[in-house]
Amino acid sequence: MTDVVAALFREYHDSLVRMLMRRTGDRDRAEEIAQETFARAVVAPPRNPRPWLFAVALNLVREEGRRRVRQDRRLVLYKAEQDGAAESPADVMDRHGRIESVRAALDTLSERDRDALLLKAEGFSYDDIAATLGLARGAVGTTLSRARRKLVEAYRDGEGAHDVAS
Amino acid sequence: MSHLDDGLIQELLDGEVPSTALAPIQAHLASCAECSARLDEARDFASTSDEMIAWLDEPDVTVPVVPVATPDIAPRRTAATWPRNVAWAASLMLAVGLGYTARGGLVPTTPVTPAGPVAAPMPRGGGTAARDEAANALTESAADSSPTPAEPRRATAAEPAPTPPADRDAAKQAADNAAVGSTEDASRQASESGVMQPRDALGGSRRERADAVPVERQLDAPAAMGAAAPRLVARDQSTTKASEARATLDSLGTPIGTVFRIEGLELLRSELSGNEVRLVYAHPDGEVTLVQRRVGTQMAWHLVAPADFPAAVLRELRARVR
Repeated sequence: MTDVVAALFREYHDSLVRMLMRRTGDRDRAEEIAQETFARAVVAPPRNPRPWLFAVALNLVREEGRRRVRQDRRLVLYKAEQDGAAESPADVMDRHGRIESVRAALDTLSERDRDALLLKAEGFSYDDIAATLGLARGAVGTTLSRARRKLVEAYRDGEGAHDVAS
Repeated sequence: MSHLDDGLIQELLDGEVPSTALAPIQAHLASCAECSARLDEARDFASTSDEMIAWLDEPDVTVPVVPVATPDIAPRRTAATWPRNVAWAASLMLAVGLGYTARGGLVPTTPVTPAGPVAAPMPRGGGTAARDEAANALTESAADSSPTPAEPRRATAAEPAPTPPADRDAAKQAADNAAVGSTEDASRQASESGVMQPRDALGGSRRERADAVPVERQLDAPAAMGAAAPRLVARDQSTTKASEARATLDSLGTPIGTVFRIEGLELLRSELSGNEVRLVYAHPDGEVTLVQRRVGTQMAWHLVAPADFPAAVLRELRARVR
């Protein structure tokens, strides 16, 4: 059983954490949720692992909105300071501003549209997106079309309009 | 053929239309300016949204890689080193500016070596990461057919107080001398407890490392399982040899190239997950983990400690990351 989970971990961990980080904006939360997801896979190894893992992870993200995962085990994170010569304060502000703008634009999307977009960014096929989100396969294209348009328009309506090439 | 709907246009862009169905669609696009324009617009939205999502991956923290000084491998603190660091810093600027993030393969170079002589694993602190909990879950599942591991015991003789870098070699020598009699115990306990031991504590040498398990084999499972892997594998194979533990540690340094460490702290174990290395250190206030990951050509790092870990001490530890 652990061999199976090890294989799943090897194949999907990075992708899962990346998607979760994009979804939550927090690397540690992404790692926590990913670990919780794989721990559940140990208990009940999935038959169709990729959609299963991502569906469980997205469900955990939603649950976390009401109840933080392992609130009593919050960690203190001290991030290394940026090397002063590497990036100017203005650059840092620009970068953070841009990320905040993208995140704000993502937040304007419905949960389903946002998740479909993030799964597609991880290389999911339409079949896998449908399986992960419980959508009809034929609805995936429409969902992605709406999500992409809305994301870009929301961003352009926001502060970062001048940053996006069109 | 009627106009293409939005869903079909997306499928076309994403390569989800079967090749057998492409011909009529392409024929329609060739003759319908409206659909052709909608396709172009959808393509712009798709590429722009993909670009925006990729921006979210930009690292919060990046620092240039610095070489690791090891006792048995000459430190690369030569005049030839600094131009490379400058080059790294320059490439960092480019990478950040372009929003470049890469999670590609790792390049084998220098092995990592712990800062001090460690004898035995310490009990875990109060605040452990979910990663560890998942690791425990995995480990417990793997332990069905293996002996119950021995209770970890706290190291005593091999817990030197943090020392300045200049004094480290002398302090290390003294601690090595004090721990000579317990080296074998430490090795055995490493196998029993399933916790990887730093190479120094096991008396690692070039000759002994010739017996080690090949890096490829070590990377196969532990690297894939990340934090869970070292303990999982070690406990799953209750007869794990000290040489395997050393090889695992070597494998951490090998793919990552250069690794940061906390000077003056005892390294309890090393864990590799994808392009991320976690060095877990013993500290009287609890375990401290130096998490570092490869971001393009750079290394980003941060410290993780229990929630009740004194902030002032953690700040001091940050200054000792080299």
